[in-house]
Amino acid sequence: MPKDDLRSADREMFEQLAALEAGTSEHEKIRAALIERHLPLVTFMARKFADRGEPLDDLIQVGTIGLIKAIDRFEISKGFEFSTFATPTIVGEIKRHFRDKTWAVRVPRRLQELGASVTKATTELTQKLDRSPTPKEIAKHLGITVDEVAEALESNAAYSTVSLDVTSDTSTSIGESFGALDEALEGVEYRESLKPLLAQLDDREKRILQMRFFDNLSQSQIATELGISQMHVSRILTKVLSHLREGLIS
Amino acid sequence: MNTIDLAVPAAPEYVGLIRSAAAHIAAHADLTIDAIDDLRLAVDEAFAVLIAHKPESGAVTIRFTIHSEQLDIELTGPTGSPPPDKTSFAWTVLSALVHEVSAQTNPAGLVTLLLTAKVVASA
Repeated sequence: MPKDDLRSADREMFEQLAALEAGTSEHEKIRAALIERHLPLVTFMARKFADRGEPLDDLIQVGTIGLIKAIDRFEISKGFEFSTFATPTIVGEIKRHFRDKTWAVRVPRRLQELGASVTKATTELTQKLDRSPTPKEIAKHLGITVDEVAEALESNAAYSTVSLDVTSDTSTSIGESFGALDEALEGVEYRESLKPLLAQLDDREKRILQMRFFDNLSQSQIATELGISQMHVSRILTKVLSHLREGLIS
Repeated sequence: MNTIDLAVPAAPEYVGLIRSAAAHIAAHADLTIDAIDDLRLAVDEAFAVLIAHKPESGAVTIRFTIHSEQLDIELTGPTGSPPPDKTSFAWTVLSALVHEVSAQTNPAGLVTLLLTAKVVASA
């Protein structure tokens, strides 16, 4: 499709979207179609950051969040092209991901690379074996020693888990996922003091907490379900648990 | 069967040390990546439970026992740490993270948490 046609198709879809009420199935359908149309833009931007030690899938995932935000905020009347408007939001989300996950300690480049290949091997082997691999299996796959795998796992875990950014714009179904979690917490002491702490978590964090502790899914299963890496799930759990722990103690 | 003993001051800044030790030992005990990461979280949680009453002194001792089928981690708290409450959120978390968790109080009044992670036979 020539560029101008593409733009006018975009414009038409955004006009339709603006005319529909948010939450209706027709609105959702056009919104989803817009997301899909612009995913190549996300992939394109994510690739620019691909050599910095984070799995590409994770970058695409956070970039997609940026895309969705851009779609929801775009106002056609302002006269911008959508891609011009969306690019800074997508890049902003990807950069925020790096800022949140900066190394807590300075990890040598060799270890960062080793960490990245161990993460990649973990994902590949999880798919192949249909379960989480052992360090021995990863070592064999990569032709390195178990000690090196252990070292890489350690440096991967050294990512900062300090920043707990309270994401204000959690657009979807907070009530729904919170309800399920709340039900699951039935019988747990301090339930009342947990509630405000849980309310500070974003939707995905709540969902991961629910899946791991109440639905008893493994970290790998959660990773597959959400389309992110197991390491990312692990970091989110670490962050969420320490947040809850600190909140309950203080 | 191999045993590793550690003793650290009962203060939050030492949790990183035993977490790393646990992960390293678990990697050599042939646990899966999932189980290793879960164990890391479990050790954090157990350590926090044992020092929750903010002891001014004392130590947490940790004994790792590597069996061919499982890894046992016994964490013993400092004097005065109360037995864990099994209806607490921490206990819910611990139970989900390892195959078995139990608590006992020895004759000297020290509380021990025993975490067991099973080695899933890998082909």
